[in-house]
Amino acid sequence: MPKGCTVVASQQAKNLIYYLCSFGSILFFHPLNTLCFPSSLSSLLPFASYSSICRSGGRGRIRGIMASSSSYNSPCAACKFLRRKCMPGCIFAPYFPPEEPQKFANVHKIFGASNVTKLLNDILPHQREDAVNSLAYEAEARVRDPVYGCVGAISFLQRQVDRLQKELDAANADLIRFACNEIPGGMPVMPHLSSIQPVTPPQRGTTGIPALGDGIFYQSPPSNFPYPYANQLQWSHPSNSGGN
Amino acid sequence: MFRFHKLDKTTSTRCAVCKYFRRRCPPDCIFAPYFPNDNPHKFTCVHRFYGASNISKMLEELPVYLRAELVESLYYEAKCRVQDPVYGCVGIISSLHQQIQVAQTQLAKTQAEISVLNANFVVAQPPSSLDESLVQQNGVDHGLDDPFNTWFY
Repeated sequence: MPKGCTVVASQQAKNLIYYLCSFGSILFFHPLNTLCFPSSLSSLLPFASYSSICRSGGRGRIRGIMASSSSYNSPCAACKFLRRKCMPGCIFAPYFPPEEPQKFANVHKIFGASNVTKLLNDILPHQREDAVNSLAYEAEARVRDPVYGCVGAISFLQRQVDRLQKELDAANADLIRFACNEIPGGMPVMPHLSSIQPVTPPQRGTTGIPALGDGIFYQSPPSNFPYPYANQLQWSHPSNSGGN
Repeated sequence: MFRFHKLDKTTSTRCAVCKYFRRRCPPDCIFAPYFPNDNPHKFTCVHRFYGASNISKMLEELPVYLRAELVESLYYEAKCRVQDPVYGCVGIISSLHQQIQVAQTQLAKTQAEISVLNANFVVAQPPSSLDESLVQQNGVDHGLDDPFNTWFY
């Protein structure tokens, strides 16, 4: 995968709180590396209730839950679901608290417990929380949209990015046209009489996100999904507006 | 000593899934239309995260005309997860959201600048040009009129 996406994802997890808006959900990354859902969307997202655990200080609370699961023999959601004894070193316990049964239910339905175990064993311990939360997010998206899952969201967001880019290019062209008309030297001031053609902003490269084409929002992305991370992400920073 | 493998019809027409599991591919194999044997990587990738039984259940829950899309989306998500084991395609979603935020900020800033320039342009319009434009509009020549006592029609 091109480094851009991994670096961005790592930076998000480590540095920023920001809001990811989509029509179906609002998602924000807590600086303690947890994926959280605002409680206002609890009606839309069945497992949004664990957002309160995340906001209250994800890791510490989760560690506390793990301690409580082992100390009071309260099985984690995974072991409860699988109807087995929750051992002290249960790999699921830190990430599937008993208060969030739906989270594991979704993950188990889509991925399966053994696959999740394999995945977690291949990841460093400090990354497992984010991995589980991203799996939970994907599972939830797949439960809501059995055909496209997260890909529907990607398609929709990609279209938004394309639309905004076109609007931005048009706005930049207008701005340049105004700026050119203000240059002194006997030039006609009426915009429609200007003989200077608006300078087209330099064409940006592709965003690096595969263009999934148009389709009904969340419903029908086209079937020709290109490979992900085909190109580097190239998005002009606000400080570099008008040129790359 | 050579071993000759007897080729039967099923060997050459096994789908990628049945080839993976080294089993006979029945005529009504649910995987066959979506996992052709010329692309074994597709199934190995999807199987790694979802498992054959889960894929089978998901296929069975959907009508036939949607199953191809399902498989493609699973393949896409699996590839994202291979490339980013921690965030998978959620990393892409968050990147897109960030791009949208940046673009919206940039767009708002540019539109504000345009508004300012537009306002300045209107303010900076010299009065004579307005008179000329009015004359042209009305077809009446007031060129000899006192510019300080001009009637506007």
